Amino acid sequence: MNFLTLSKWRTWEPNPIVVKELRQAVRSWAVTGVLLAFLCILFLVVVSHLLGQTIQSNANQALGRDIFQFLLPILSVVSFSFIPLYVGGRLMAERQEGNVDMLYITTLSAARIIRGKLLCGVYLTVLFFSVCAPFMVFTNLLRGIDLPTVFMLLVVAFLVSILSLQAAIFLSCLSTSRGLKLLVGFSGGGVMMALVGLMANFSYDLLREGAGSRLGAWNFWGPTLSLFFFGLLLFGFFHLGAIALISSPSANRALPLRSYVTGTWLVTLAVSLVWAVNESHTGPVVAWAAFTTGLLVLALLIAIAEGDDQSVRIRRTIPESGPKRALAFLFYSGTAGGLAWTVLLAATTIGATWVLTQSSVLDSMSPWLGGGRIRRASIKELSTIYLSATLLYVFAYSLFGLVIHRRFLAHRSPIVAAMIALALAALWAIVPNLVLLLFNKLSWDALQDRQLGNVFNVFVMTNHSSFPYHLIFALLLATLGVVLNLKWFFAQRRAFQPLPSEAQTVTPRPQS
Amino acid sequence: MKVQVRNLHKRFGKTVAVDNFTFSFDNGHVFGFVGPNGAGKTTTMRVIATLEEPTAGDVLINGVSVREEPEYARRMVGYVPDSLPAHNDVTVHEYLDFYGRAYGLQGAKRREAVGAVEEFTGVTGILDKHLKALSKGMKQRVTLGRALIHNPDVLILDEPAAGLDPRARVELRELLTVLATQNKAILISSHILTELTEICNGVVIVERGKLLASGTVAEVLKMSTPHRAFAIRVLGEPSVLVKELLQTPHVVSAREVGGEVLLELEGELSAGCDLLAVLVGKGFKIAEFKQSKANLEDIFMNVTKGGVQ
Repeated sequence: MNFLTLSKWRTWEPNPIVVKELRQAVRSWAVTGVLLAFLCILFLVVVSHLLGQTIQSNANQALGRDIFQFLLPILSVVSFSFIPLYVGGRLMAERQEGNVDMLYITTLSAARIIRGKLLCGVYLTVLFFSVCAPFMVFTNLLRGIDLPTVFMLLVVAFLVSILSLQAAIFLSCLSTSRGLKLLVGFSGGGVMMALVGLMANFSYDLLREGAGSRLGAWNFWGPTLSLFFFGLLLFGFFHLGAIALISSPSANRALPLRSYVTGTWLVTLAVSLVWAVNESHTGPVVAWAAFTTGLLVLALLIAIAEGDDQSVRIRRTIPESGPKRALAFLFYSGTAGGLAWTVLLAATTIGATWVLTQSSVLDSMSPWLGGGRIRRASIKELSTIYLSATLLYVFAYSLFGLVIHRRFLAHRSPIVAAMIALALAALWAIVPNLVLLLFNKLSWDALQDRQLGNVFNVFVMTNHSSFPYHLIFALLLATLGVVLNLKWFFAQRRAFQPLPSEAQTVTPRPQS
Repeated sequence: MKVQVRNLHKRFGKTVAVDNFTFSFDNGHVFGFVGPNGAGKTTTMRVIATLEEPTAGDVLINGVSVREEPEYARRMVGYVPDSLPAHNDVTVHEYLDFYGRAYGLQGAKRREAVGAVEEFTGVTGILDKHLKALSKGMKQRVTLGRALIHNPDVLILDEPAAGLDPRARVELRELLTVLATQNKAILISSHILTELTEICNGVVIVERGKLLASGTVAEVLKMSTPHRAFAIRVLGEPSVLVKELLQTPHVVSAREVGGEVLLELEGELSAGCDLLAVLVGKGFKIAEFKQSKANLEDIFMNVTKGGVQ
């Protein structure tokens, strides 16, 4: 730490958004009301259990555990749903056109706004946790639960609530119609409720055996740290995504996000390889491929919603030299570049998964990394087909979405292309089944039967021999999409040129 | 500092809100932005304030594009929207202090800026009141204070006088007059044209998304009324004078309005002097002979056709 840093520390001031949000939160009836209600519920739960115990003749040797099993879901509901909804709802309201606060025309950067909102949510989460923690620690005195378990579950719940908070902030930044926001809100609510259920399930498992006995074992820390790591990466994706969404449209919004996903791709591949060798099993590689596929599907939809226009600001930074420009094309804002980047990453993912799960590469790496003989995951022969078919279908829907947007709705926002792609996926899943329903032929077996073109069918189909048909059909669809978009793609690639110096109408940036 | 609006287009779906607006205004200028509802005033102001991205065209503030460098343009622009904040959980001082922080002002510099703005806008007596408890006039002062907190060179005010009582209007006008003397470039929209007349030295007239006229008041006046207008008060029967005037060369029109004779004359100011000499020579007893100064209302009525979208 040098003198400059020290002198800056003296003039350090908190993020203005945190100051504003916390000022408003402590005066808000929503926060104080829920906090008081939360406190009352916790108190009633503990008192009712204690009273129940006094009138029972047999002493409950695990009363603490029983109470804890009530307290944790209550805390989870508040921290996974109320706080993300409160912070996300306020952000969504501020993003509305008629909002009078004009937060987005101040000189606050998009990153500071998102960080401020996140920090406010973290402070509120800490507030609710600090209210609940004494009750939870008290359960330790009533037997049936050890302090490491209490601590472990609180840490897990806290981390999940921060991830929910960041996801809620990301969703609030989406500039979509009110109807779509409601749909996203309901889906987000469903995911949060599922998280509460998962948390309760996880705590039930941990409470039965206690965390203390597991702390020394790799089979506890391996999955726990891996989950933490994946959660952290997802958090980073949502964080950078939210910043990109509220950044100025003329900024190169895709660059940080695509760089991050590429970095994540490399790091997670390395981690899964080490873990696969350590476990002598290809499972971690398959898990990595599934995680990456999910991320790439999201990235693909974001890419097609970016649009073709490149601002002068971006064009000023396009490199002159050919190879550098080709690399920049993949990472700079723009649908064509985004598509190329996703296809490249998706192809590498599928290729790597195939090589690592089907060939003897891992076997040859294993002794070098100190591992044993590699066992194959039970779904090894299907994993590549599953993921390839999913990615090809999403790629095809995206390409058709782009064509429809370009031909018929060119005057609409580029985000419509992504909405069309989603609608195509939904229609292809719903319409054939509606027809079956009309002819009274819809059954569970029919849903699990082969439905070519329906991406969701890939996951519910029971007849594994039909998977190659899905793969071939998805490949045909994607090829058709590529043919329809080829002319446009090459035009975009040709147009990706640095701005000629004589065309620069804008004066250089003023010094800050 | 110069604000240049260049070929600005803004569409919302199929509606063209702003169709090829081009105008500019400079430091120390107060430009009135007038037009009926739905003319594209608010949209243009929101584009200048970096709240909306133009469909085409651009706005340059001292050469900095609001489209390409909105983050930098924001440092130079203060925007007062047509709606007012009504938080019940933030006091006036906290609100202004937050915007001071949001514009990057730190420590003593921020306290000084917030204090100066509170004093300038006259809200020092209500600093601890919540925004919701304020009158419309006071809210407008707070909003103006918010826009001034970072001492911007360009001030954009969207209907700042709407809904204010006469006293609040006069006070707001006085504040704007002071701001104009501080060499700020001000663009102000209002439906109350008589008010704008007193403080504006330039005008932009728009209707149905089209720009009809822009420039200094004199320039627009010349464009909208190519002939000079005079008012004559005569001792005796005005109708006789009207008859005489209609037969006089260079007189485009003459009519009697409320005991006065209003006429339009071709040519320069000297043509008016010549006409006066002719009338006196013909024995008319002229009690008053003055050139009529058209106000914004007259210009607006001459230029617009009364269309809305």
